[in-house]
Amino acid sequence: MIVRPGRRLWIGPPAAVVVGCALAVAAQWPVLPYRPALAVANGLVGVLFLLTGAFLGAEDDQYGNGRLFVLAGVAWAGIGLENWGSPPLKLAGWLCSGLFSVVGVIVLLRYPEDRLAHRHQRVFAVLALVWIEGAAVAIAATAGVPTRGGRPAVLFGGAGSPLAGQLVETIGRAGLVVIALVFVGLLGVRLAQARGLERRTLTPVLVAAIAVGVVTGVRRAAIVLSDARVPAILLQLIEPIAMIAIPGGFLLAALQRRLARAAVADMVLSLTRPGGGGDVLTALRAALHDPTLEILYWVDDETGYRRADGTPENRVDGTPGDSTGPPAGRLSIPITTSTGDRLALVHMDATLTRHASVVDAALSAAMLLLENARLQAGIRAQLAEARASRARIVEAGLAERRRLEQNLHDGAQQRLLALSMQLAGLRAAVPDPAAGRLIDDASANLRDATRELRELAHGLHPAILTQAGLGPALESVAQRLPLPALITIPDRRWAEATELTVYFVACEALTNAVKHAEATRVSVTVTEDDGHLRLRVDDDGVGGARNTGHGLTGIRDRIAAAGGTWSLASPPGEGTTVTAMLPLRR
Amino acid sequence: MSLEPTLRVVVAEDSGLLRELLVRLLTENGLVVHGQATNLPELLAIVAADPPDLVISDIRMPPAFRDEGIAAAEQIRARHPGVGLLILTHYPDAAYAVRLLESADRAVGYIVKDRVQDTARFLEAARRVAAGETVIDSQIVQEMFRRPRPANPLDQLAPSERRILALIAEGHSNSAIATRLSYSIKTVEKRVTSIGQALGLPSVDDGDRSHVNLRVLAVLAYLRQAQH
Repeated sequence: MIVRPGRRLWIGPPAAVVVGCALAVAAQWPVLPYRPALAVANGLVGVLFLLTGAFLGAEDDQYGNGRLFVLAGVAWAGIGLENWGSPPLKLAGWLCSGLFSVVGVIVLLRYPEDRLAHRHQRVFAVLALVWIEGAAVAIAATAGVPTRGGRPAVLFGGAGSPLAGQLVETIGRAGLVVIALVFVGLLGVRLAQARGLERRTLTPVLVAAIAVGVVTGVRRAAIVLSDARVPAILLQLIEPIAMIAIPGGFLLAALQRRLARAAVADMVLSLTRPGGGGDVLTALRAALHDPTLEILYWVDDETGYRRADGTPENRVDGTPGDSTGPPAGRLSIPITTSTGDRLALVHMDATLTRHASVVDAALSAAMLLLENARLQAGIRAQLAEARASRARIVEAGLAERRRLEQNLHDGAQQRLLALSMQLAGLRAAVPDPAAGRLIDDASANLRDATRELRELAHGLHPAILTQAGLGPALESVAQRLPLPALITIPDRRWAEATELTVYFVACEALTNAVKHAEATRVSVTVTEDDGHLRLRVDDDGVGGARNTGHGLTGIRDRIAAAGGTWSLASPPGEGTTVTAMLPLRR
Repeated sequence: MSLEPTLRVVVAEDSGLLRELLVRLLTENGLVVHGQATNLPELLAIVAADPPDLVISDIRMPPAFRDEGIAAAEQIRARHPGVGLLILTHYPDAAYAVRLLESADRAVGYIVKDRVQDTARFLEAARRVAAGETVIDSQIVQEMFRRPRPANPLDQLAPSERRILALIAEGHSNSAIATRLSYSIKTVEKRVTSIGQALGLPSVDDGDRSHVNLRVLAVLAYLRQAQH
């Protein structure tokens, strides 16, 4: 599912581990008889570094850091060479000490990645290495290497000037302080920028690094200040003991990562189990510590990717995206089924790339759930499409009725009116009483035709609804009813489609009340609450209405098309109540 | 036909044939058609250029075919209060009558368009509006009286009072009502006062101007029943 490098062979490092362990033991050998605790502690740190390297190297994405750890372990062991007393070995110890520091710096700066992410970090690592090793060589060539005999041994055939030596030593130490400060700054930046899983992985390591930094600083200060009032052995022991924290931190983080892989799958499964309290999205967000994680499900070629509720993906700026490319700073992982069909697209924080195995475990666990969710998203998308299409059909029907009414009004009605005016003119101009009567009859017929046409047009589309609103339109209906009607409605306007739906539903209910219910009075109540428009039509008729009649089917279809609900209560002998609720679109 | 000074009329109607017939009808009966408009902006421009005595306007015109006639009435009344306004409607709905009367309490008329077939009544309505009276189509008034409704305050009115209120709404003067119903003017005035009390209208001093207001208030109170 996730592309990752194949497992590399782990042959070189085990050999290095064995050699390093041997070196650690050999280097501490001279100290063992008179300072056994210190020798054991120093040897232990080297071995721990080597073992941590081996442990890390076994992880797919920590291969490189594992190798560096082995190198650091060998370098630490090499530091012990200075115990052997020979000036060249003493210098080798110093060089190993520098190497150990710089390798440690690199690991701490790049972990858990396999390379230093920024150019300035690489430049810093190179400069630190050059400075530290250069200073060691320069000191050996000027001030000389201290020997057990007392007189420092100047190497490389140098003159051995004490003044030059002091100067070189001071400059070298000052550089070390600068390097240490920069290093702490870089670590601080990393910790501040880390999020989610990365922060979890980084925290034990950086805490260990800071602890070592503090302890080493305190020790150096104590050497300068204590003036040997603290037993020297304690001061010498404290550094290796603190140093154990670093491999310890890495081991803890690696252990956490291994556990995370298992835990993440468990978490996904338990959260999505019935009663687990979350869907697959919530589970993945929790398991991967990424609250911004999004899942888009593949519906079909025409629809593309959709969210779980069937709506299309929205870009950050609110415009619909083409759902192909990942948004900036995001990692996009396409998920396919076992048969290779597209299933989903998971957007997550780009830093999760460094935890490919954890992400992989989480997504594998979520696979079945994703397939289910995809089916649901597809059905929801189809349902949303069907709803939208039905709403469009109803909308088109309403628009067509409005157009017809307008045509009748502007065409036939006006012509008939003009015709009747012309007839009136003709009537005045014809003196013959018989002809006059005929014209009167024609005028009366024409008046009836005009009235019928007007009522037809009004039934097609109530012009007053569009112009004056639902209240006046319902009032106009009530005016034509043969029974008392109480209309209660707030004096305000809503979207035209909503008003028309309520109007036609009310008309249908009122028609039923008049035609079938033998009602003596009706009431129409429209209220607005909680984003809904509620219509209630009550009559005091015979009741017993069933919701299968043609008129009521019409009501149901109109309300459903507007995304609303309705109910009918019509106990025999107790009147009929029709209630409809329509969502108000914002 | 008329001894009054010649009325200058602007006709606003988007149907060409009907407008032509209206103009001919008015001209043949001694009114002067001073301008013709086919839509709202044209009507406003003609009235602004030279205000006539009377505007006869269709309620529904371009650009939007909604209630341009009412909008025109509101704007013309605000800028040229001397211009009489007669609005022709298609459907006898009370809602517009209320809007119209709220923006103009005199020299205003709201009649069903079919009325133009009855030349004499149409011309009478036009002249009465031009003379400052308020005319609401009898069809609208009748339908409202017929409209049964629960708890109608108009039910408190005696049958004779309801007849008088209907005639007031149609725009008849007290003396015309007295003649039509064979009452004395004093009786009519007394009934008008009791109608005002029944409808909860503020009592007013006797006087021509306040009388007009009482009429309008009575009609409005009545028409507004339709809204509640």
